[in-house]
Amino acid sequence: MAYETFTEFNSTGLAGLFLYPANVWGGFIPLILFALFAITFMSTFFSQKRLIGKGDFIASFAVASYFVAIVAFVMSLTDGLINITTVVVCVVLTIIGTILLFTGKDRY
Amino acid sequence: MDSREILIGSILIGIFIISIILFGVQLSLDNGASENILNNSAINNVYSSLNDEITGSQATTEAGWESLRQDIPTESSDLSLLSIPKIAASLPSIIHTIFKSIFTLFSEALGIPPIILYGLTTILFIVIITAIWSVIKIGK
Repeated sequence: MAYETFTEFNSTGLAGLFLYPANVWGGFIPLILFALFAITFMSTFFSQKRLIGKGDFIASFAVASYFVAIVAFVMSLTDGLINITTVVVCVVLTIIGTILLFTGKDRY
Repeated sequence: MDSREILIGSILIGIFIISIILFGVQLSLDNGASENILNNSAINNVYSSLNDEITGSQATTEAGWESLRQDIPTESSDLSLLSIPKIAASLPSIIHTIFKSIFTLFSEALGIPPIILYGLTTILFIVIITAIWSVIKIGK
């Protein structure tokens, strides 16, 4: 079966740019969120490493997971853009980040 | 980590998880979204059990505080504080509920096999038991 084209999708507005690929392939939004997670995680980790000579893996993981969870929550406001399972996985990532943050040595 | 850090860390983790879930729910309610994350049964279970446990922990620690105030020194003038074991006995329920609900969420959301969760729960029990033992015997 041929893919639906953007003209056939018939959605106006900025949301259509994301809704169209998400409608064609269900893995598009999880891939976007994974890319956001990786970019945030690596940018915070390596910038910290450059500034003070040592990167904090756990803090970078927590920051990236919070960011991705917030983006997932915002995406869930648009119908059909993201499914509830993806949002739950993002929340679980956030919980993992929080656990690591609060159970790490000398954190508070 | 000593038992105090484990207990405080567990409660903070619970509060953070509740805050994250409520943020998502409030955002969806304010913007008229068709569904929110509480529609997911796993998230709903985690939220309700954490909410109940953290609310209950306040009553438990308050009862411990009252018990501490009523403790009296023994005849040999040593402080024999019976409230410390009482408070220590309340630790397992707080830590156990928080982590058990989190493990259940992982199992349902990420598809982790039950055998891994059994292993993690065993480790959790060992940590709780040693933490309580250190509180009762060492006071730390």
